[in-house]
Amino acid sequence: MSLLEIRNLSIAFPSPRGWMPAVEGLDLTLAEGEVLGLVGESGSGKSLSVLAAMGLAPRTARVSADALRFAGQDLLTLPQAARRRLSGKEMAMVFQEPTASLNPCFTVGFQIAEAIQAHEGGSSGERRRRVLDLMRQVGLDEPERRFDCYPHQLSGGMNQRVMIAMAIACRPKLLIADEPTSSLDTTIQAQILALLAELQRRHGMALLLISHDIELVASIAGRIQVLYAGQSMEEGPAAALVAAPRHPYTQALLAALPERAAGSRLNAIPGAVPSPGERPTACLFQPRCRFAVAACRSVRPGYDGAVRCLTPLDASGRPRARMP
Amino acid sequence: MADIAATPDLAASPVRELWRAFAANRAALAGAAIILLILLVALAAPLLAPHSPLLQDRALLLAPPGWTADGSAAHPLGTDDIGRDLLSRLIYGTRLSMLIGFMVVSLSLVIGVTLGLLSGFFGGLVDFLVMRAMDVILALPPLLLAIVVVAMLGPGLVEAMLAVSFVALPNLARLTRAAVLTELGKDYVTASRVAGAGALRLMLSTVLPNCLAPIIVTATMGFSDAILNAAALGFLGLGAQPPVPEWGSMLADSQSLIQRAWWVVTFPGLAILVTVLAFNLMGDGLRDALDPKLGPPTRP
Amino acid sequence: MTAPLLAAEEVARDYGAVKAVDGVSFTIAGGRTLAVVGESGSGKSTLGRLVALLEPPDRGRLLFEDGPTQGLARPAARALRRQIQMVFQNPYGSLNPRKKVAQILAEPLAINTSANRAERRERVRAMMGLVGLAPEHEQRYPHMFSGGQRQRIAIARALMLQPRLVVADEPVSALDLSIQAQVLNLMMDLKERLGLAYLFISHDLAVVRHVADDLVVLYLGRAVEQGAAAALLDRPAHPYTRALIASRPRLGKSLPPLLAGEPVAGIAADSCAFHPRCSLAVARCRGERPVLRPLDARLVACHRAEELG
Repeated sequence: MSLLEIRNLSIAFPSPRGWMPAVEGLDLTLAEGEVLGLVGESGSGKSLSVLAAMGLAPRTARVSADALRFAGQDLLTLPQAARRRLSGKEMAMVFQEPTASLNPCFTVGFQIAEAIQAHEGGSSGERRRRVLDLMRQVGLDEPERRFDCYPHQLSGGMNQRVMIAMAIACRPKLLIADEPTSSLDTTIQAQILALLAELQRRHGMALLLISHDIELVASIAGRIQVLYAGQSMEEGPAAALVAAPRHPYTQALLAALPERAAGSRLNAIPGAVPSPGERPTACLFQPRCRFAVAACRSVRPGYDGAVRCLTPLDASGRPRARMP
Repeated sequence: MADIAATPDLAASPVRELWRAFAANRAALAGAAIILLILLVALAAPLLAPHSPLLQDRALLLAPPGWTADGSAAHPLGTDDIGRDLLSRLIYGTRLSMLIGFMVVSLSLVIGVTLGLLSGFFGGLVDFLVMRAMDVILALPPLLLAIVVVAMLGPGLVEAMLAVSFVALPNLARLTRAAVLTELGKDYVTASRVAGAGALRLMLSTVLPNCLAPIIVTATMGFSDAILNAAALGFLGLGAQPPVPEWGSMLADSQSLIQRAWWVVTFPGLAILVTVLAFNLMGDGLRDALDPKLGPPTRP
Repeated sequence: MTAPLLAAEEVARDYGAVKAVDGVSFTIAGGRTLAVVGESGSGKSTLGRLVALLEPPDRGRLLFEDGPTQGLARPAARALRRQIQMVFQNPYGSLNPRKKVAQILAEPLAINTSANRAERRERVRAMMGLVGLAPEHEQRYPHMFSGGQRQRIAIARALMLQPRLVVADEPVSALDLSIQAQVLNLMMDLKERLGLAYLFISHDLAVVRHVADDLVVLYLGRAVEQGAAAALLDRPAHPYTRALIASRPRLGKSLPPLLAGEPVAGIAADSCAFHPRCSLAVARCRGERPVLRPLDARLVACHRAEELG
C-alpha cells in the first residue's frame, strides 16, 4: 500500500483574468520507506503541490483532487483537527531557508522541545533528554551548549540540522524536504544530504525531496519525478531516468548541465517556462522542444504513469516512431 | 537565442496597478469622492454660497436652520450670533481647510523628506544631528508644541500653519529615513553607483521614488491631522482670527451657544468630522493598495 | 609584454575585526575570465566590491592598466569608473523597480556621456538587441520580465559604457538551469565580440569550469590555490579545493564524500585558515601560515600539497 497517494491534483489561483492554473492533473505515489525526488524549475508547481497535500496551500488557491490519501486516510475528508494532528506527527517538512524558518525569539532547544510537546508530551526533563539525543542524531556537536543558542547565533547548516531534528522528533512516516540545501554552501550541502540519507535509512522514513537540482536529487533518490509548468512530465527509477530520459524536457534539462557542454557553448533550452496565463492548451513543452511535430501543437499528451509525451524518447535519445 | 516576450498580463504601469487596487476598496473610493467634492466646493465657493460669509444680518441673529419652524429659507443652516449665514461660512471654510491642509502637508513634506533623505544618505554626524532634533520635537505633545510656536509667532492663520507644519516634521523625516536606509542596501542602488551616479542623483532619482509608498500614505493622513490641529488652534483662539470663517474658530466662537443654538456648533463640527474621516479612509485605502503592489512581485 | 588589465597586489579589506579579504593577489588580462570561487565567508563578494571600485582596499593595491585606482583626480576617476562595471546576483533586486528599462539602460549614458536623448535611445535599443531582448520592450518595467530577461537587462546595463572589465557576482546563481545556460552563452558571446574581461564570482564549480580561463579559490579571505582553471580543476592541489570539487553531487555517483565541520572564522594570522577541518593538518599548519607557492603550474598555499599526490 502506498504511503502517500495523490491523484489528479489541480491547483488554481484567482486573477483578474479568471482562474490561473498552477498545477494540473498531478499524480504522485510514494511507498513506505521510499525516496522520491521531485525535480522542476520555477513555475513547475513542485513546492505548491506538496504544500497543498499537507493542507498548507494559500487560502486563495482552489485545490481539487480525485484522491489525496496518506497512510490510507483520506485527507480530503479529514476534519481540520485530525488533519493537523496528522501533519506534524506523521508527515514532517523541512524548508529552504533554515534561519528564516526558525523563531528568532526562542532558543533552538526550546523549539525542538516544542515539536515534541505538541505531539507527544512527557515531562520537561524527559523532553530535554530527547532533544539532546535528537541534536546528537542530526550531528550537532556540543548539544548541551547549543540547546540554549538562538537561531541567529548558529550557521545556516546548523539551523538546518535543527529543523531536521524538529521534523524527525516524532518519528514521522514521511519527511518532506523542500529545497533543503539550496541556500547552503556546497560542502555543507553534502553534509546535510548525507544526514538526510542516513536518517531515512535508520528510521525507515519515506523521503520526498523537492529540488531544482537534478544531480543532487539523483544522488539519493530511488525514483525521480520531473515536473514542468504545473504538470508531471516523467517519472521513473533515478538511475534509468538520468541515463536514458524519455521525455524531451528531461533530456534537455540534463543536457543543459555545464558538465554536458560540448565545446564552448552550453546546451541552452531556447525560450522560457510559460507563465500560468500563457500555457499552451496542447503540450506545454512544445514551444521549446526540439522534437516537436505538428500533433504536439494540437493534442495534449496524456500521462501514462511514466511519461507525458506523444513521441517519448528511446534509449538512444531520439523519439520513438509515432504514438499509438 | 529566441526569447519569449515579456508577460503581457503584467503590462500595466505601477500607477495603473495602484489605481486598480485602490478602486477595489469601496470605503477608500468614498473617501476620495468626498474629498473631490470638498475641493470642488472650495473652488466654486463664490458661486455656491448664498451670501457673503462676512455679511451680518442684524435682523436674523441666531436664526435656526431653514427647515425648522423659526428658520428662514434664506439661511438653510441658520445664522450665528452676529447674523452671518452659516452655510456660506461653511462653504468658504472649505477653502481654508483645503488651504491649511495643502500648505501644511507641502511644507512638512518638503522639509521632512529632505531631512530624512540627508539623514539616511549621509549617516554619521548629519544623521545624528537631524534625528536628535526630531527627537526633541517628538518629546513634546504636538498640540502643546504648536501652541508654543504660535505663542512665539503671534496668533493668526499663517502662524498656525507654520506651527502645525513644524510639529508634523519628525514623523515624515523618520519615515523617509527608514525607507531610505532600506533601499540603500539594495543592489539597484549599488548598480547606479557603479554607473557613476553622484549623491544628488542617487537621492532624488534612484532612491526617493522607491520610498514614496509610506510617504504618500503619511502625507494623506497628514492632511487630516493638519486640519484637526489647525482647528484645535483655532478653537483656542490661536489660529485663524475672526472674522475668518475657519471651522475650528467657528467652533471656538460658539462654545457658549451649544444649548441655545445647537446648529452653530454642530455644523462646523460635522464638517471637520466628515473631512477628516474622508482623508483617513482615503489614506487607509492608499496604504492597503500601496503595500503589496508597488513592491516587486513574489517569485512563483 | 603589455601590462595586465587589472592587477591586485595583496589587497585586504577588514570589517571591524573580521578580515574579509586577507592579502589576495592576482592579475586579469584583457579579454580573459578570472573566476573567484569560495563559500560563505570566503570574501569573494567583498573582493568583487573592491575590484568594482565600490570600496577601497584597506591594504594592498589595485592597479588598472598599471595605473592607480585610488586617489585619482575627478576626471581620471570618472574615466576609470567607465572601464569597470558590475552585474549582480539577484535579478529581482538589481533593477530599479520604478524605472522603465529604457531609463535604466540610458542612465549610465546620461551620467557619463554627452549623448543627447535620441542618441541615447538608439544606443539603448542597439544594446537590447545585442543581449537578446526585443527593443520594443524598452517601455516596460522590470517586474514584467522573467528572471533570465532581467539578467539580460542587467548585463546590457553593465555594457552601456563599453567597459573593459565586468565584475559578475554570481550572475546566474538565482536562475533556473535552462536559463542559466542561455545567460552564460550570452556572456561568453559578448566576451568574444566586445573583448571583455570578467571577474566571475561563483560558488558553482561546474559553471566555473566552463567559463573560466583562470581561477582563484578563496577560503576565509585567503587565496588557497590559484592558476589556470582547467589544470586546477582537473588536478586540484589544495585539500580544500579537492573537498569542494568532491562535494558536488554528480550524476551516476552516489553520495559525495564529506568535508566535516564548518568554516571557523577568526583564525590566527600565523595559522592556516583551513587547518581545523583539514584531514592532513599537522602541528606546522597551526603554527605557520602557508604562503602561495608554485607547484605544478599553479600557486597553492599548503604545507603538505606535495604529499596529496
